[in-house]
Amino acid sequence: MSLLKDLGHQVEEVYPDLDETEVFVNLVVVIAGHVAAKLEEIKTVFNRPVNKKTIELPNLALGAIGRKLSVVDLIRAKESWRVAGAAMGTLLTDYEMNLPGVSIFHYL
Amino acid sequence: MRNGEVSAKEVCEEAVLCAEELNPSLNAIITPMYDLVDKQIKGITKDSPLAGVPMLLKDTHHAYKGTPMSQGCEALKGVVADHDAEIVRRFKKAGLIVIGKTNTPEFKIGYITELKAFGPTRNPWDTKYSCGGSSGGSAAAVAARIVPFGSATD
Repeated sequence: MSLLKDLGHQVEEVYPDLDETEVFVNLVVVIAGHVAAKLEEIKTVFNRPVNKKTIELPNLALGAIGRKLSVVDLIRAKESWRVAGAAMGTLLTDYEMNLPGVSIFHYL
Repeated sequence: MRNGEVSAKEVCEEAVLCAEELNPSLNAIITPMYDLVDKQIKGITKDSPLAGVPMLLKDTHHAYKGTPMSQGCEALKGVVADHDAEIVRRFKKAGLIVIGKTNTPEFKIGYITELKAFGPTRNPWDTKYSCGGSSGGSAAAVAARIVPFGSATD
């Protein structure tokens, strides 16, 4: 922040009006669903094996989570993205730019 | 290039030379397409807006017909695209010359580009540092001045 201020920017630490944990969980839900579908595609369309040798462990785990989720889980997660998008849109009516890397660091 | 002061062939050959010199220390380009450059140059329309400008494609989503697209995944190594993605079709129509495909984490999931299938991409400003992700290969190649731009998915 100090570097940006030194460069002449007006910098403020602010937060959008949303539940950060909910946003993060819903992000994982959608990603897990996509990974599960991708692993299925690799097996059935490309006829390639899906195992620890061919897929990285975090993605095998995400795929397993995705298989346990329901269509309702996926749709609710995607709908929550619209809420988050609106919150970010509101925030950006007052600011010209945000630093998502800083936000991500905050979440983690 | 538009004024004819330098040819597409000269610019693309320079990009390929730069890639061959720098990529071994960066691992930004995982699928070189250097042998396809001449054919692409012959196929461009000179009044295309970006006629002859070299570029790189991220190795996910941006399928280039006849070229492998692995999406950073060991299981998909050697899978050859049977079509051009719409964005690639438009790149071609604009006259761009694709000189290779760039590294990305498996299924493009991650803020770093450190994958098992093709190894990590390094930051050209300091190879001890991460290049970020998931479009790390394209980012590193552009930052290293191999090409003026590369495709990405953010």
